[in-house]
Amino acid sequence: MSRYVEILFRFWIRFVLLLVVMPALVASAFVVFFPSYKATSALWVDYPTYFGARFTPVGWNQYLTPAQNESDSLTQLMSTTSFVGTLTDRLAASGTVTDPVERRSVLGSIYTTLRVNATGSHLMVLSVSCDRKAVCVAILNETIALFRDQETKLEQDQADIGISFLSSELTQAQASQKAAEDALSKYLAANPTLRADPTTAAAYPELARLMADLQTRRANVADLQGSLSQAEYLSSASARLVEIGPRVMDAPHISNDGLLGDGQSLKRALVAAAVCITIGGGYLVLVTWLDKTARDTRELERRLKVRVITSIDKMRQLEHLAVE
Amino acid sequence: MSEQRLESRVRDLADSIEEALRPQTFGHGFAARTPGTEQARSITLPAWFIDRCRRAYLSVPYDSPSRVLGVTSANHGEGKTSVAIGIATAMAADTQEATLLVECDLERPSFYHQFGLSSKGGLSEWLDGMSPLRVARSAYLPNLVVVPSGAPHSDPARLLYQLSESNMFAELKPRFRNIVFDLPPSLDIAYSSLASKLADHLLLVVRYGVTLVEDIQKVIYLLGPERVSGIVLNATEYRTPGWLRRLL
Repeated sequence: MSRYVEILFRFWIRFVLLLVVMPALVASAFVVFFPSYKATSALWVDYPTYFGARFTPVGWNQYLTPAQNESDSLTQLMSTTSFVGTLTDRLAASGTVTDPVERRSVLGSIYTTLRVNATGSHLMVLSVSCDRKAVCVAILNETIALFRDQETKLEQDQADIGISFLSSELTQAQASQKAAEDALSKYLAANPTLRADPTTAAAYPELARLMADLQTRRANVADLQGSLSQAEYLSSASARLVEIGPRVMDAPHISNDGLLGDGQSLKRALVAAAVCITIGGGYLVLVTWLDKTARDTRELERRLKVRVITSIDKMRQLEHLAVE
Repeated sequence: MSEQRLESRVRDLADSIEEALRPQTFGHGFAARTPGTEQARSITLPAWFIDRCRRAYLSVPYDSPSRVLGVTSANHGEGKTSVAIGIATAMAADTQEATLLVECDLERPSFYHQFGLSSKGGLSEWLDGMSPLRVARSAYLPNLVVVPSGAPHSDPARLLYQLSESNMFAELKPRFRNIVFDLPPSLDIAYSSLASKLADHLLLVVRYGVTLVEDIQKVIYLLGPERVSGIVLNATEYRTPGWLRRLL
């Protein structure tokens, strides 16, 4: 230990440079030239019953809170390449990120630092870290807008499929109803004495069958029409819900605006300083290890098993064997 | 025959050193009464340095009344000569007893430079029988006698073998309570193990931030761990504040 301390003091300029000056410079450079800011935004998500209807938007889990449902959807979307690609394209289109190098850096930031957390039952917090304040805010703004667009489109697609299916079913049901009506009319024309009422039908089984068939077909058409109306209502309602549902409570803003930003740059600076100190420490160990000369009395006694009976300080030149 | 000659010269040497230690008045320069004895230039080491060296020699557990210490290092330039001089100075000043400081690094002598002596004549020449032993005496610590190694020799291993086999220091021990050998560096010089036999206790000087721990391990292995009484960590230059070092 004393050898290390002695080497430290012997080459103190070198070690001050390696262990103090260089880490301080590197850490300062990291803070100044590689800043990191964090933008956050808070969104409020309501239950769909807010609209007075009993339905759930696409992908909603009734056992989760609205905030959990939305954050789950957004998290899944954010992990898709198309979402991130569209986001960066939008940023480029808006003129926020024009440099290709910065674009790659932003892409990395989105993948690694864009986070969405459900805080409580309705509050959803979005955050992202990057090296420019304006870019951070723009990323969140575009994320919210893109999320809404994607959700609306998803709802619309889902509704279109449902409405299309019900419409085709209704067309078929209406055709069947028309055929049943035609068959009944033809039967009544062939038997002019008969009337299409339950009393007459009780005496004529064929009439009863045709009337029952027509009734079934009409009920089917009415049922499908109801379903189609419901589907159209749900489609528009859920699309509206998605559009206006997550309300922006806190607009995207930089949470720590100071020199140290979100603290990431400070962390990086500390890591860089630690690396410099490790290098300095390694150099100290190396220099001490390479120095095989006699320096420490306790070490000499331990290694050689011979007493060091005295230590004589180095004489200054004038003192050395001065002659009278 | 040569051994007999050396022994007789050793006795002569002991007598000359004893003679050199008798109270006498030096003038300026080399005004020595005894042939081969001259006045060494006084070396002023900082008081704190001497104090640290004092701590070093006092920490050694001596097993006889005389203190015969060898100071060595792994390589050249780690400060063993300064420490040896500091220890000898502290011993001489503290005990006021006759103290002998002998330079045994026959390849890279430095005492002549540090004590202001001429480079010719010293332990090497005396061992070769070419000249009487030069003995220098400190002006301010008259009980401290210095023996320089002389000019660099081409065959120092032979000389040191001769020296280690002779009874020179057995002869000198009764006359000098304190003997300090400035030994050659143990890894740089092959004959250093011969030289290290001259001393009863060895101190290993290690230069802070220069000497490799591996080299120290080798030296301790070469000399024998039981012979190394301690390590002197020289030229420390801690940058860590004292209070922090005490905490660690």
